[in-house]
Amino acid sequence: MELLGNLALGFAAATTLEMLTVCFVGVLLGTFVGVLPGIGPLAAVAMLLPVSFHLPAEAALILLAGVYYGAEYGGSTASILLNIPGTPSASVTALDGFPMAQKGRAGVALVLTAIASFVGGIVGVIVMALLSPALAGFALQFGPAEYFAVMVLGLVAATVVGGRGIVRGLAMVCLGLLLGTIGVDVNSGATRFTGGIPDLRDGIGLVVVAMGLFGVSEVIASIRGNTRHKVSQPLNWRSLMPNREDWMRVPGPALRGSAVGSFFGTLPGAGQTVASFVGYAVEKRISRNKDQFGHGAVEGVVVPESANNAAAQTAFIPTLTLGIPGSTTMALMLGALMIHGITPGPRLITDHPSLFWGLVASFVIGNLMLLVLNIPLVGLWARILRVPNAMLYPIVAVLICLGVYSLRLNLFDVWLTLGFGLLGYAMRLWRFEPAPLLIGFVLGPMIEEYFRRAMLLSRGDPMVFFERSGSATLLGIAVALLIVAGLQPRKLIQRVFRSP
Amino acid sequence: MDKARLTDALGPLALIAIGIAFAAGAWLNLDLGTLRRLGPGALPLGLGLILATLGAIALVQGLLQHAEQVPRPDLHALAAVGVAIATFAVLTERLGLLPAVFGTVLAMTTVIGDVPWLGRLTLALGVAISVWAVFLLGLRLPIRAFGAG
Repeated sequence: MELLGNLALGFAAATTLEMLTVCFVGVLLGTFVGVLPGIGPLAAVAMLLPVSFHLPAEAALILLAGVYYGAEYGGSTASILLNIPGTPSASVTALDGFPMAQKGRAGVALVLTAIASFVGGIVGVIVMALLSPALAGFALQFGPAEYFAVMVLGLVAATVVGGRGIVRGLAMVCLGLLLGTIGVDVNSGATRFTGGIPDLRDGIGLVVVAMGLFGVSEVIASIRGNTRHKVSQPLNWRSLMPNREDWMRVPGPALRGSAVGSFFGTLPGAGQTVASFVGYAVEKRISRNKDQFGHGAVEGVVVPESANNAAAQTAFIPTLTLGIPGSTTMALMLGALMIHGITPGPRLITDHPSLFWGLVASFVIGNLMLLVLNIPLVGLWARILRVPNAMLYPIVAVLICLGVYSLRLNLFDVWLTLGFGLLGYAMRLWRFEPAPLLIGFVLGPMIEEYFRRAMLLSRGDPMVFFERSGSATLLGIAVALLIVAGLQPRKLIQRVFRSP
Repeated sequence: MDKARLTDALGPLALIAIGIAFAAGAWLNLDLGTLRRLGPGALPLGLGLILATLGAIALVQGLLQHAEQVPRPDLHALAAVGVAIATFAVLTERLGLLPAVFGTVLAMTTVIGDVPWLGRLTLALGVAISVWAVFLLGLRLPIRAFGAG
């Protein structure tokens, strides 16, 4: 069994003391930022990017991934206790989680979400381990034209993420691609759009863009939110334990949620939020306890949590096998890989087996850690919600500045981050999504490289992208996705979701 | 044309301007190359034109549909965060990292109400000490704690 050998390799790589520590720190921080409604996993991953550069590539990825899926666990806490989702995908959990809390069953809801999250996470990892090598093997036949098409597909998917309309999304992708061209062109050595500023010769740093667009603008936008949340319910061991009937209602919904989540996670652009919504809608249709949904049904917290955690894991499949980031956080992971000199793509699994399988193993370990962290410490996490913004945001601001500055010890980067922060805030006001911009920025240099190479190989004939069956199919999917997005899938989903 | 519509149109207009600026920069200063061997200016020229076109479409969409109100910016928060980050950049260069951290935290606290001055100073001092312990002592970042470079 090749898979077992690979997994053995992965566990050997992931169980060294360093990797275990990194994984633990990652999931702990992830839970922390997931619990706090102010900072999302994205901002947290952006803030940790500079730290990850000082680590080996494997450890860097394990850390960032840990924050990412750890936040999915933590995101449900604020949803249940306060009806404020800690992460966007946890908003579905609030639908039944908050009513459960109002009935005095907050502890039960929190324990069940931890278990559902664990089931979802593990199912997602299994799907990833089984599917990734096959997909990568298929993608190995790709030439430059196919790579270009894959990335176009990724970018189109990124515009669908935003949900502000395709035109605005595509415009942001273009802006991201253009910002990515700033600096020295690796092919010709020509300097592009630096305005004579020497600090821009190496291009704008990914950390600068990510921290500015997501960190700084987030701080500006939410600093004046609620300063203090009240969590009145005392949580003790007795109030945590689900009863027999609750337990009976976990396995089916958890597995169905995991299946839905695993599927939607692999689709670039769909992501965890769509996964939780669809999972909830499906469960509501087939459940025997339909009338309880929205009033504190156990299934209503189990399904979305298993779905979004499964999706969080399977989102790594397109990212690591094709090099298409399905979401902004995945784009940051790709950026982290590239900074470590690893080219994401179908060769990743064969060229860096210990990285890929080590990551898979770390997911299993991380999910176990999260289960252990979450159930006994539910009370502690609930208490974190009381950290006032007056303390939180100044610290976040310092971490952003320090993170950016420490990379190159260059204060120009700090000013540039402020600039991107202002840009991000303006984009919020004018309803432009920063996510497609960042994904365009990350993929920009690669997409240009493959485009130029494909044109060179075809002797300047742009029809190459439509004549090769692989790239034609992928571009066809991209066009189809644009058309579907034009029909506004969010409204469709909402309609399905609202119907009884 | 009412004011709300005009403000809303500023976003797409900015996109058109940025697109044209990139395209013009590529056209004037960079080698476009040939179709077979694309130069460094080819992609920016194309993308700039696409961006300008998308901006124009977004503009027309905005004008045809009912105008969406652009929310009023929170100028106080904007100023506080701007000053905080600028403080970090200026003070790190002139006085060293720890005074910069102290100043950044202080600037940030001005936007968050009902915290007494003593509390703000304590927080700023606490964060500065933590930064020193974690980043300078612990992670050994090669940054001066005090003094200009």
